[in-house]
Amino acid sequence: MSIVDESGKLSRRGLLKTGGALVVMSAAVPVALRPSIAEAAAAGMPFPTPNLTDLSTWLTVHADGNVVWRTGHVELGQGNGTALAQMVAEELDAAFDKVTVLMGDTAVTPDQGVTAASSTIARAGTQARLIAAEARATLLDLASKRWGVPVDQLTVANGVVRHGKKKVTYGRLVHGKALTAVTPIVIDGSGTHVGATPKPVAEYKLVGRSVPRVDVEDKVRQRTTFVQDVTVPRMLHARVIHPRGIGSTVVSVGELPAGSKARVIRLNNLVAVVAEQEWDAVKGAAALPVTWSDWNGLPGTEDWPAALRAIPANVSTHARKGDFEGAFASAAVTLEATYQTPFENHGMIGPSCAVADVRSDGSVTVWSATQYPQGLRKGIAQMLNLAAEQVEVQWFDGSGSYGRLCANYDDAASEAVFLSQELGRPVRVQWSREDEHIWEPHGPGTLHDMAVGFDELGNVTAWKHEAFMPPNNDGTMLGPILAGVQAPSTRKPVGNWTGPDLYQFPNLLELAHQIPELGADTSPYPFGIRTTFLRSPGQYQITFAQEAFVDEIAARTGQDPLEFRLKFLTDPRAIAVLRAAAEAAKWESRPSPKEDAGTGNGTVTGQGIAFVLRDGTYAAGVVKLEVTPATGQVLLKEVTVAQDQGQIINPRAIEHQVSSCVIQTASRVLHEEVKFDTSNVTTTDWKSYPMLRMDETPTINTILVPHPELPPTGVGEPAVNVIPSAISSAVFDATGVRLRTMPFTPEVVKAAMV
Amino acid sequence: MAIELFVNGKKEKVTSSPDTPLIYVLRGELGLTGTKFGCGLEQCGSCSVLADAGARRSCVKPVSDFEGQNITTVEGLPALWAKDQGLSKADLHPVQQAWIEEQVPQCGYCQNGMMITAANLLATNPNPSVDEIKTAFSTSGPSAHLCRCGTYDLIIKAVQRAAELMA
Repeated sequence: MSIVDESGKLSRRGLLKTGGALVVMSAAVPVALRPSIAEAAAAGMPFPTPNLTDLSTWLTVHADGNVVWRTGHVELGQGNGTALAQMVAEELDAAFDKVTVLMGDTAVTPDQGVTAASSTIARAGTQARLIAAEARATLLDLASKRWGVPVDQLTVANGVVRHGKKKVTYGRLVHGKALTAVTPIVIDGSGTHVGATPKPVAEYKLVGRSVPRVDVEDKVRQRTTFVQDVTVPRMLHARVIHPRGIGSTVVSVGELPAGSKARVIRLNNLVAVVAEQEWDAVKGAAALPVTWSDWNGLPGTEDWPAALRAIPANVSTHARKGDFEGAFASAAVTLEATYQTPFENHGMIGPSCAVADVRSDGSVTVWSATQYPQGLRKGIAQMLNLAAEQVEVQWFDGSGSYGRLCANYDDAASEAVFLSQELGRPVRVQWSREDEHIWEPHGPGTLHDMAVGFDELGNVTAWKHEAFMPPNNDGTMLGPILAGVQAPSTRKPVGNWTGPDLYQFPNLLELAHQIPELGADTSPYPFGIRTTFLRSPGQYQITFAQEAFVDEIAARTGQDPLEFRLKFLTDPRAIAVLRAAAEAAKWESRPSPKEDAGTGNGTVTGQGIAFVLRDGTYAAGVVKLEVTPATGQVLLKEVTVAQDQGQIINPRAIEHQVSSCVIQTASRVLHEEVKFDTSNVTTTDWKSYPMLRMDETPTINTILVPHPELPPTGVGEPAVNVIPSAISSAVFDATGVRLRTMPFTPEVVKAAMV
Repeated sequence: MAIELFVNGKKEKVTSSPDTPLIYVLRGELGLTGTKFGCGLEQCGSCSVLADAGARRSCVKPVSDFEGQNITTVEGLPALWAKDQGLSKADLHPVQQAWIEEQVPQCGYCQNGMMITAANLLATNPNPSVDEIKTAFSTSGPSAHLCRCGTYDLIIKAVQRAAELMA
């Protein structure tokens, strides 16, 4: 490591403004660039495109002791910003409140990929830990040189370095200077490597503590600017009028009523009403007559399962072990069943919204709640035929998106750029509730043909899971497609399998029919009913079928569903979470259904259990519920989740993620289904697509199994996966009726009880 | 023709057209963006404000319906508490304090409406049971209050905590 004082090369203004800063750089940064990077970073200004191997990309230590950490990841409401700050402050030995995490501004933050799949802490957090360790070593080196004592005689806590009675703050170490420290950093296929060694776990003071989330107080005090709250000078308000059918094109656009203060913009099939005042745009959009072509390329809600089976699709083998066919044919007992999950909404409470300013000099600024600012930047650049450097995406908080703004998405932003380009003014596009319910890229409906062979003791000899999976990865954005401009990608996506094999079954066959989007074959656009990542995509559906079917074997052979699972699991972490959940929930060890199970009068109760391995995290859930067969109502009473996510960064934040998973998934399982006719989605609001209410909220108990010695793994998704089958199995326990088609609405349950 | 409202204790003469739903006046004309647009259909609760007769949705009813009324948005909760207590100023309403202590928000988008309804409930029922809390947020308004992030369990705890803080 070498440290160079670059102060002489910096502008006086930059230095005076910031009071100096330590900017940690890699040897890869050209010498000529270092002063400008140092100055920009110190002043918080944009600097040359952030490179992952330039440590200056990641952090700046300011003269006042404040540390700014930059990440391409964004806060989606899960608390990853807080956990990252904890990990960085821990490794730097800086005070927690001196560390600020700056997220998702393409001018200053690096491209770390999309914020999704519970990966921020597992990947970016682990990387941040190493880089922060390197920064700490650099600061200690400065102190060592200042006092002429070896580094190993120094101690540091809360950003204060001590040697005997002498002490100096990190801020003082860099005061009045612009230092660049050149350190080694390598990122390769096996991860990130630096010279310094991170702290031993035993020395952690911040990691593992329930530090209050840094975003929560701001959100309560209304200091958080959501993307919906962004206003820029000269901004116009727009409402887009989307096609009537998924594949409809414009036939004609009429006129706004006399006296309307709005105006109509039409770019091919992108029709919008814009106005100075938002309400004028809303009124105009409601009043504008638009005639769309007829398009009826969808199978309709009743017929989609049959359509899914009829579509020619590639069949991919996810896993094959032994000889399923032979073992199934010779099995003493066989079971076959089909499970079905519906099309679903991400259901953002705040409908899509974005602001775009496409300027005459070709530069573009987009304000977005995207889950991937760098990806959106590239997408916007491509659709406008610009270089990525001409586009800046500023991320702002948004309504919980759960995958809806994943990949390079932001439909509203993609529409806003074309409207802004046409109007020469910044444009804010705000979708209506109907727009969001109809046009969001939904979670896909899936089918699962299950077959199992076993002996009289329930020893499984053959297992087959044949899944019909529409896409989980539609990356289209509506703006360029409706405007008739080349889309970022015309590749038509197909679905696939997600999730590992949980049980050690011999003679196993797992197949995924990779289905394209329904209607895509006849639509003039490169999509059908758009489907994409929705919290724990793919695995949510796969695990529902897998875990419920495991319960069917246990029931058929008269075994306790918990003991049956333990028999086929070998991973000690899997076994530990199942046991922990069962113990905390006071699991009744017995076969299902219970002895007095029935579908008669009154209310019956039941228990269900499930297990998953997702994002490297082990989760087990126990659901206790009551069913009223006469009305079909299913009411969750108590849900217990035990989870092992390796090292725990912030226990309370994780507990809140678990309860979020439980409540949101209960909503999906009990209520939610996107319905459509042959033309388009017909569930257009919260009445036709209801969500779980507070009076259906169960008591939730969470047990976090600690493994401080292991790397941290994801917590935003795993618990989602144990809820669907545990509910199905608990209903079976209570009534003796197995529910295999979600959602378990009162109508469906009541009909099943007859 | 200006419409007169009293918003967060301040007299406002608003110039938006009288048919404009209150939410667009609050957010667009008065810059009070704490009140959030969720549906425009009175189906989710994220636009809730306190009006003379209690918690009201602001996304459908025109501003003219609120003429002369006292409107409290989430930004006005601390001042409302100060006024209730005869204080010159309050940093936070106890409901907000409880929301921070219980770490309720995830994305936070719907929480302004949740806090408004909590303040409304506690103003008339200082010690609500869990069932009464559930009712207030589920069946007492034009629709249930919806939270996509699944914070209902934390809201129940926070309302109970706020009741303690206000006692």
